[in-house]
Amino acid sequence: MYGYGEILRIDLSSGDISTEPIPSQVIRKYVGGEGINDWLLWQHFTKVDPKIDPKGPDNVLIAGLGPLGGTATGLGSKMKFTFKGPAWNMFGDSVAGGTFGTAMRYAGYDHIVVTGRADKPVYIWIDDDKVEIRDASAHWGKGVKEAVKGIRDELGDTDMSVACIGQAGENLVSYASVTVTEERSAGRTGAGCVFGSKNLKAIAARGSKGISVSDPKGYLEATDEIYHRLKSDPTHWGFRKNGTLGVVGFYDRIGGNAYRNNQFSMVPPEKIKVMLARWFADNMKTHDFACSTGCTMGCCQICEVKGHESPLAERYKGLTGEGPEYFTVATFGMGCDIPDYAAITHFHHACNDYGMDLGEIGGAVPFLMELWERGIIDEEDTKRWCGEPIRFEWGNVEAVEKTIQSVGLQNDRLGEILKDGLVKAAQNIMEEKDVPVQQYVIHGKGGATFHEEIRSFPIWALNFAVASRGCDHLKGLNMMDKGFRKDISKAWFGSEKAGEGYTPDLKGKAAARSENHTTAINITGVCVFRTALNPLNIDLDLMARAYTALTGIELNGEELYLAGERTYNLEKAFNSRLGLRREDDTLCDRWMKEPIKEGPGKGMKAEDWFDDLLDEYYEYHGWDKKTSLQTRKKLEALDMVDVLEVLENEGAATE
Amino acid sequence: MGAKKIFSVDSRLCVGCKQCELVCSLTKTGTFNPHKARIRVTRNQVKGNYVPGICYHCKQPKCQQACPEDALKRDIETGAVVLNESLCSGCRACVVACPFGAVQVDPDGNILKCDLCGGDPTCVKYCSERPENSSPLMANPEGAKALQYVEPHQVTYTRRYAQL
Repeated sequence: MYGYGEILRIDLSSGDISTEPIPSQVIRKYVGGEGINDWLLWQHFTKVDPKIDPKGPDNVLIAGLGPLGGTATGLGSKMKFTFKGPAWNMFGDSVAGGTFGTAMRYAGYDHIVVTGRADKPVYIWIDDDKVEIRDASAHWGKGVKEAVKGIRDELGDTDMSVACIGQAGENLVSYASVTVTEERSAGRTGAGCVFGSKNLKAIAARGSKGISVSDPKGYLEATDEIYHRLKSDPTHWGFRKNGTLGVVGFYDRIGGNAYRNNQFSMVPPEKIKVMLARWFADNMKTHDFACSTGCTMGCCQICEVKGHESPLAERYKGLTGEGPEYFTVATFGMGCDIPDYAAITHFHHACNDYGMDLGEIGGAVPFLMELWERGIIDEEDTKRWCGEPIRFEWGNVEAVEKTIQSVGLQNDRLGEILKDGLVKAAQNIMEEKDVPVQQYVIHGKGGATFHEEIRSFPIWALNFAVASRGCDHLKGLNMMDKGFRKDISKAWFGSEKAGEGYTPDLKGKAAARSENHTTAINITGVCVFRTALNPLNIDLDLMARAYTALTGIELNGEELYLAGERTYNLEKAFNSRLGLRREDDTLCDRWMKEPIKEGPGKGMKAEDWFDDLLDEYYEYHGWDKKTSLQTRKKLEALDMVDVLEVLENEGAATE
Repeated sequence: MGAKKIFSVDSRLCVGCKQCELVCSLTKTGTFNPHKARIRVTRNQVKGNYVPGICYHCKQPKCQQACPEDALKRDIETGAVVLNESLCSGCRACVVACPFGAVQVDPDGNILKCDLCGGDPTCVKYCSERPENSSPLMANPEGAKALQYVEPHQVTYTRRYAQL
């Protein structure tokens, strides 16, 4: 079959390895990537109770890359890990660039399904048709960099693509991540913890079979059109140069940054100045860099700390490698008030090496710092927790370094407190101190995320509250209200209102449609950063055209959107089976009840419009407003009767 | 004689996207497979940057001199050193002889040799365009690419390999 590979199944308990083709009706319904990953997850949990402990051997780990991944659209290749998420005990998936997904596909496998649990540490080696489960005891206990080097040396290939966990995953930190060579992270919802729970240190892959193409000429014509459209977007040069770091200055203008645990939404100007993309480009950047195969945007960067660039540069002198993303700047630079790129880059690397989610840990440290400022925790506590009287003052790099290390190594009470995420950490601290601290926890749908001001941007606020994988901005990535994109609003809804900033108008619909749209992109396997942020530029028709040229399967933009919607509904259905309902789609007290103190969104708070927008959101999805559950009508319209049956048996769907 | 136009490579502008490998393998084999590409991007393990490795169609090609079957010939039109596959025995003498490691062998043992796509190299066409002053290390204009196909005197960054 043109453009597609097979499904590779590996049972770590029995050592059984098998392959099978992807059923053609599944391709028709879910296309690939996230879609077929979700279908595989759903199949697994029709045989296994979805309420199992996600850290137990019954969980499943699925790696997948969509059909356009590893091909030459120019839009990159983003792979996904899918599993039941240990971080927040619901649907879990996590995306990464890097070389692993494409190597897997060039070896002939679009999806890898890992089940069971090995009785000792192992890693999987895929070399075209040869698939082996190998002893990983020599690499266990090591950070990602050292382990990857060891595995590459062992396999005799210095370019081997490896997806690997660090100590955090081995120690079952619930939000542990997987680092994909060279330094890309599948960060959110705990893929690394699932690796660790299966005694799986890494998966290494090399492929020389390649991907067959139905219509090479037609494919290149679609690529030509994508190139042409990319260049017609006036923001594209800035994105090529700065990537997500460009967001720092943009958010500063619209009041979108969050400072000191989101107590504030404006960062002092002298601190913003040294966190701008411009500062990084002028002082630390050495090269532009594409994180994944076939990405001509190349929005990432390689950097070097020489030792004199910033106040903290001396401390991190000699550090080289990939630069940080906005995510890291927001959590450590703004959230912890450490406006220093040398330190921010170091934390970025440290999290990737221990293998933990920057979002969750980046929520935890600012939280502890606010508790310190309020006098709720002090040196006596930190001495008891980690043996040293670490001061969690704003801007203290030692506190961040120690926290990352303790969480990764799990060798003291501080690490233990934070092991199962921020919400649990707050409970742990409340029990210890007997003081309420929940009001200082920044979270949505039970999980922490990176810090940005969402109260003034209701689409994003809603995304954080409803995303299928928990508190998250990527599931429904869009720039409609933040970017004041009245044109997108007009095209999608016939009204400009969703593109108006600082109002709740139409934002519920916009959040729902963005989820379906972004998922439609994710199932193809390309990166969402250009495609989802500017859907009028690279539209789904164009993506479908490239898909058809690649696979020979007729598909148009509308059908691709439907497949995205179907996929998102499968994720929703998975959560419904776990008992998640409307009351779980929520935001923390600070976002709900505290008004923004300053900036363009001053006075806004989520509770003023939250319920109305949730109604609008469920309605647009065709779900029941009262319970949030999917309706028979909707699932029948999406040709998902098999899913409906399972839900109805468990009382998790409505008429 | 050398090629009329040659590749100019500025590795500082290479983002490592490997789009060149993908479009090369697509054009030559109808598949996406970096192992079948005539151009190869390698990662500098120390600096973390990427370097495209490409045939420079040298003035005095070592590959041609080494070939016992006389399967490598210069194309009069383009100046490219082209492999006649029907004459090639797959002995790999050219692979060993090339000072740039630019002659490749695919997984089936076939010799892969750049032929400049008949004078309009696909890899150059799809090479990523970079923003102005992409990094402090260079002062490139907007739209500059790591790969260019230019007259020999226009080569800016590559050492003049074609003079060899």
